[in-house]
Amino acid sequence: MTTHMTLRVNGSDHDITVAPDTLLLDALRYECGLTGAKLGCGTGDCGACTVTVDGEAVNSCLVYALECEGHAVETVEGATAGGIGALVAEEFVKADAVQCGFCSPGIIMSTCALLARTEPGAATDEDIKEALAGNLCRCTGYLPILEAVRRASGAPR
Amino acid sequence: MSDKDFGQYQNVGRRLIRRDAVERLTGHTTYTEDIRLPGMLHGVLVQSPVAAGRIRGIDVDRAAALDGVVKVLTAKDVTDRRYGNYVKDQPIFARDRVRFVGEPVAMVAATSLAVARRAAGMVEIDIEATTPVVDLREALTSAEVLVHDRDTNVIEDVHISRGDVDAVFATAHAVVHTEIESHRAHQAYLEPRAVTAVPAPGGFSLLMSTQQPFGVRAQLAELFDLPTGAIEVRVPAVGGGFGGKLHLLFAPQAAAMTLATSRPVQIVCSRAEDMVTGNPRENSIVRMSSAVDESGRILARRCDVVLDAGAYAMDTPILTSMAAFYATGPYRIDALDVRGRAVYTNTCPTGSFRGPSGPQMVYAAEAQIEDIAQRLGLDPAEVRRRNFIGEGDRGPTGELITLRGTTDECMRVVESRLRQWRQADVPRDDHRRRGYGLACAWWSTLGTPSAATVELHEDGTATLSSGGTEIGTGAISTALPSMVAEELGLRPDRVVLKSGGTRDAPYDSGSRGSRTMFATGNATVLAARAVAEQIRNEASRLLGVDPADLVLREGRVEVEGAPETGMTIADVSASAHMRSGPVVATGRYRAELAPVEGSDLRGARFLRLGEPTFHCHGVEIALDEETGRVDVLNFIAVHDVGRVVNPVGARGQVEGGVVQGIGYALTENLRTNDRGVIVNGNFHDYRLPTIADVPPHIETLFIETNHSHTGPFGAKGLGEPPVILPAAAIGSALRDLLGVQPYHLPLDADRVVLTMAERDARPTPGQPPSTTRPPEPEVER
Ligand code: FES
Ligand code: FES
Repeated sequence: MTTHMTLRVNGSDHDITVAPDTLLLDALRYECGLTGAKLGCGTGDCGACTVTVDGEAVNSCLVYALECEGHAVETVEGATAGGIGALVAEEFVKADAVQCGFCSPGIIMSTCALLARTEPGAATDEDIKEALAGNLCRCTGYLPILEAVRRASGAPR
Repeated sequence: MSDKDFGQYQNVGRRLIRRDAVERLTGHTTYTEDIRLPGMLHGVLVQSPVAAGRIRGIDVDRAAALDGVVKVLTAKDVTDRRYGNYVKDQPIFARDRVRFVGEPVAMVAATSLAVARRAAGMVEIDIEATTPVVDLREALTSAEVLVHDRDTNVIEDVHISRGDVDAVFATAHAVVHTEIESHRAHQAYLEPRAVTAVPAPGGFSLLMSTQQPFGVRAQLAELFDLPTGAIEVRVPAVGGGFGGKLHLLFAPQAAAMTLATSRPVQIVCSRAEDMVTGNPRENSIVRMSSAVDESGRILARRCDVVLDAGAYAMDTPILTSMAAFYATGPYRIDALDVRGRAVYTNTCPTGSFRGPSGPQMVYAAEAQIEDIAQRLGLDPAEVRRRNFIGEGDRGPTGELITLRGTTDECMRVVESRLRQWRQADVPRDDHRRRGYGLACAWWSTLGTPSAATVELHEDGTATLSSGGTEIGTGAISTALPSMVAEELGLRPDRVVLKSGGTRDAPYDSGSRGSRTMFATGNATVLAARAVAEQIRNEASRLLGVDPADLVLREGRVEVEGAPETGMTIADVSASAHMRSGPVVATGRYRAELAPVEGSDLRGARFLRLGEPTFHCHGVEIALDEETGRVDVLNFIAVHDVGRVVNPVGARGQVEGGVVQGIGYALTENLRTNDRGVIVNGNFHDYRLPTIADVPPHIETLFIETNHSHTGPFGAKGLGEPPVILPAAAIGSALRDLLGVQPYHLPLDADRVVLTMAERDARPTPGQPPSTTRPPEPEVER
């Protein structure tokens, strides 16, 4: 039992076929061909699948694709192509905040959502930790990530 | 390689930006699951629901009839050969018996994952459950409940003897006993295990998230009775490994299904499957006794280590040797009687986790030092100092230490930091108590084989082909090309790396044992040096200068001491291509095995440790006595790993390792109930550190004045050491704070509260017992 829907991702419309229980994550990865968002747990505990929907960070492994019809979805591929997301990625490179990279797309998206709702330089360490507490990283120990987000937050936008 | 001439380098020792960072950050890097091939089937395993039992029958008919299902496999459809790194005991699918909850019994392949999952649920397995043996102590002694068809559950028994231990114990000033028990921890790499098998003429190829493609290929060739070359293992990006991706994982099952269907087959573990079928860090019991003189000098040690292998041997046989070798800690002990055993239980098989056996052996050895100090009324740091191993001493297996022992240098830095922290003001509204501790360790760098090929092209750029596998450390992707650039006098961006599997490069023994920078690095440097020599010879002919007077720098071949002389490397290379042939060389490396002396090793899987590294970690913790919660406030990590090739990557290894070590110490505990079921096999209940849990700062320092005699540019291995010390340092800080040492890991809130309660219930206050449990007899022999 499948239906057609239009999913707006990174500013373009994708006409895709989904089942009622198709997850946003699977629709993005396998219908739209955007594999940046990763499946780390499927239970909302790791954040590797984080994308933004209307600017808010969501775990795309917990949301059905159909729920997102009419909303603007952004993935790491779109977010880092320019603007604040590109700046965030640049700071991550400089701070060596990526090792295996499996967590990175989700962390970048949580960061973008945080920066979208805070003024430049306004995000405190507590804000950053709260925004990223749902994103696990097993490689870096987090400190370079914290550093990169601080810098990105402080940068003029 | 000699260690003379450690001058300034153009690239080595400088901050290198990770080459693959941007691609990874922007979501364009492909991991195994990201690749879906045309006609690909999805494989789902049917797993045993019980820990032990006899298989009476498996009914696959209903599953096979489901629309979209292409094939269902069970043991009777595949070879009965077994696999395993050291002991071949594991079947592709359980045959006759099941031995742990989660063991693959059958496999469904279907055109969609959803159908495969549904069908897997319809395979009916009829198992007559039998009594499992889940408890390690019980498995050790039981002759009735046996996991395999052998007369004991003990699968590995290693002895190290050195000197006359009995005589020393009989006459020593004091004998101090320490016993610890440790738990299981999961590698919890963020990318679940994944493999895709693809049909290929005469065999198959794999796309696989693995740390060791050549090992996978060799084992599969044997399992399926194919020539090694008929199997290719390609490694897309690996989303973390930490030892959890050294094994065949589900490659045998995927390959069997591909051979049966002639179609690509992908198996991607769900997180739940991954956590119950993986090879977590083993739980263990370590009993240690030392005979000491009044000054705290350790004259002899007995140690008995028991590791829980789980249901199949996997890596545990070699880890048993490692655990035994690390029983001394970084201390010189001339008389030793060490026994290491591994024991089968009906639980998930355990295996390598970054620094395998390290955290519990360091914990035991360091708790023992503090027990000795307490018994003798001495300062533990002083006891350590009186015993540190160093140059000219012999290690546990009798090998001569030819490097300066720098543990004391590391510890002095940590001690001064602990003094500063103790003096700092505590915020007035913070009522938590503070504790300060440190731990010392040594570790070794694996020198297993590697080969690499370097080719210099006509345009003066080079290609490095390495069988090494990048698992996130940057050692392969970033450090190796910089080493080639260094040797050839090129800019790093003029060196292109080809790696990621068995096809494009010669053999490498995998990303493990802290070995890539060292052993893969050595093979790379040897290849680059041979290429440099070819270039010098060619330039010598062209310039009429003795090759020994030529140097390669900044893209040119120049007469030493006369910049701007000579010609470009591109011109020399182009000329060589025309006159003498392509400019290409393969380097091969295997660490030399130094002779051992004075130790009797029985049953050991290897004879000596590799190049030694020295380490000390220090920590400040805060304890909330109401809840038992421990927070790490400050951390310092001091390491001697020889030359630091890339300071940025090295810091990343230390910080990441320290946080994994803190997780192991405080919150991570993969728990198995008495029916053999893992009760917290998911990321909600298995508590990994988050960004909110880490200390605000981890100070990382390197002692850079003790270069390896044999590593590239003087480097040794760094991957594992950072993870092996934090638990011991935190244990020492808790002892500082509570007045007693916790002897059980993890040091979670329950343990801390229990330790406080046991301390307070102590019959004679001020009379420190040597354990918090009823004292056990001397090490059982
Ligand atoms: S995959 Fe969605 S939170 Fe882990
Ligand atoms: S970089 Fe590997 S999980 Fe974060």
